[in-house]
Order: sequence, then structure tokens, then C-alpha cells
Amino acid sequence: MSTLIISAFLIVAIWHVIIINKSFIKPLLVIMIIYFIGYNAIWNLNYVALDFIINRHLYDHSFLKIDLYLYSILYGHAISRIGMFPLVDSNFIFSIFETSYMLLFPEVFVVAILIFIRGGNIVQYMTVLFCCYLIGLVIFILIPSLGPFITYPETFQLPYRNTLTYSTMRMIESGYKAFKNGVQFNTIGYFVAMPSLHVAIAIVTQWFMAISKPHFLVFLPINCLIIVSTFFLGYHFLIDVPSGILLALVVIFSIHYLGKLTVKPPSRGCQQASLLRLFHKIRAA
Amino acid sequence: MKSLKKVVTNMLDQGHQIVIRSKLMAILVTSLIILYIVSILLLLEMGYLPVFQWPFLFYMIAGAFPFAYIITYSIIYYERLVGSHKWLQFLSCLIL
Repeated sequence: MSTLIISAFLIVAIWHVIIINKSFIKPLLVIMIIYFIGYNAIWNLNYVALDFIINRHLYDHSFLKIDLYLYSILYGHAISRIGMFPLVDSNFIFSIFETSYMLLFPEVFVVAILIFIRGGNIVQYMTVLFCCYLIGLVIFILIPSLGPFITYPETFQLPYRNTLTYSTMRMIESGYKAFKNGVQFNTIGYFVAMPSLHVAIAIVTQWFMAISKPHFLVFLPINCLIIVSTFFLGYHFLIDVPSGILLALVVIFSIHYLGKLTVKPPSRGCQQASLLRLFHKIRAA
Repeated sequence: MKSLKKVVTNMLDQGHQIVIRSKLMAILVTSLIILYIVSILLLLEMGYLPVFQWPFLFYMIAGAFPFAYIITYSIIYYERLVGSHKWLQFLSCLIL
């Protein structure tokens, strides 16, 4: 069924690009190739980082203790770690959080397409995106934690084990176990729990959506749900959320400041040279 | 005359920024390719073949990209059709 829906979306998108947006074919292909290379590099580097931390002390136990303490305050009574996720026992709420968690993947592309339509700075966006992943990896090597679903699989409730969330969790766990046992892996390579990159990327996409008010307003509630879903579904500990927000803000403001330094007002000579190059580009096109 | 000068200066600024951005794009792509090659070499040295996750990543991009494209244009068309930002959160619910 999902393959059928994806195929239908693919056909409609290709039809729209060919009929209405012919000039978009080249930039869209470039974006797809950049994403393919970038994400592949990040996934590979995750396995390399895993090699650094595989025999080291993990901070998961301490993070879980903090979580249990905070949740016991929230619920008003002590809670056990067995079956603590999802935090609210409701199929409807679970499915909303599950969908919103998965929506981050298309959202990353929505911003790239939007920047091409509205004329934003695609280089800045891509730099912020991949810098977040790389800094996240460095933090992972310094403070290694894998997340509750890998270290404590029993935290996920039994009735929800036939869901997409649980199968995704097991898929990531299988990659970790394969690497640990020295077997060839063939799944997603993403093991960073702290900082939560799902939270960081949700903040980054929301920030760059400011170039289009309707998109900003549509994705604002979705991004809020994405942030909550990370700890609600049991992918992350609570501490991963503020660290993800902090990471996103630090990277956004650093790149923004560096961008301002790079794109200085041009001098007169430089202006003439750039105009000449632009003129030649237009002629060549 | 003053406004013409302003237009020309603006044009020059934009041209300059396009050149700088295309340079930065080239730097970004080159760094990603270098990073990718380095990561492949590191994994090969560790005894792993980093190609088995390619189909999954390809499926993820091929699945997410058309969906993202349709969402982006749906919101644009919705805004044009309605002419305001009213009921935009209805689209959020629809996407969810």
C-alpha cells in the first residue's frame, strides 16, 4: 500500500516538474544528489563513531535515572522503566506522534524546494543541516548514549510492538548489534541519542521556513509535535531535547554570523568583475 | 538618476552574491564528497562494505522527495486559492 502511495506521489511530482517547472529539474536533481552523498557520509561516520564508543561507558543509565525521576514527579507516583513508552496509552495520540516523527524526512526536502521557489540561501541551509549532524557526532563520541530503545528495549510497551515506530527502533538496533558482533550491517546508521538530531533539525527547518509565512504556519504545529514525539515514543531521553535545541540554535547563529562575514558588501572593482562574470553566465545560458 | 544608480548598485550586489554563493556551494559539495570518501575508506579499513544501506537511503529519498514537493506546492496553491492565511492549520492536520 505504502509503495503504491509513494509511486502515486512520484508520478504527480514528476508530471508537475515536467509540465510546469521544467527549469527545476536540474536544481532538484542536484539537491537529491547532495542529500544522498551527505546522508550516506553521516551514516557511515555513525558506524565509525560507534567503533570509538563500543567498549566505553554509556551514559544511558544516568539519563534514564533522570527521566524516571522527572516522570515520577509528572505522574505523581513512582514509575517502572518496563513499558514506560509511549508515555500516554492511547492509539490515536500514538499514531499522531508516530506520523509527525516520520514527517521530518520529507520536511528536510520541503525547505530545500521552498528555498528554490522563494529564493533563499540554499548553501546556508545545507551547511547548517550537515554541521548539526557532524557536531552531534562529536558530542556522541564525547558523551556516548544510544537512547532507551537500544539500551533498554523493555521500556517499549507490548501492545505497540506491531507499529512502524517499533520496527524502526528494531531496525536501528539490528545495525548496532551487527556492528557490535562484527557482522556486515545493512540498515540506517544513526545512533546518536544526545543531542537529539530530530529536535535540532526540526528547529533548523522551522527557522529556514521563515521565508514563506504559510509554510511556516503549517509546519509550526508539526515541528512542535516532532519535538515532543522524540521522548514521547521512546526514541530519546528527556535531556536530549534541550541539548538538541541548543545545538540547533548555536549552529544557526554561528553559520548566520559567518555568512555575514563572508558576504561582505563588494568593492567597486569587485562589483565590476562580478557583473562581468554574471553577464558571461547569462550569455552562456 | 539617483534611483538608476541604486538599481545598478543593487544589481551589482546581487551578481556579487550569486558568484559568492556558487563558490560556497562548490565548497560545500566538495567537502561532503571528501567526507563521504573518507568515511568509506575508514569503514573499508574496519572490514565493512558501506554499500548495503544504499537501497534504503535511495528508497527514503525517492519516497520523501515527491511527498515534500507535493506538500510545498499544495500550500502555495492553497494560499493563492484562499488568498489569506486563514485555515492553514487545517493543512497541518491533513498532512498529519
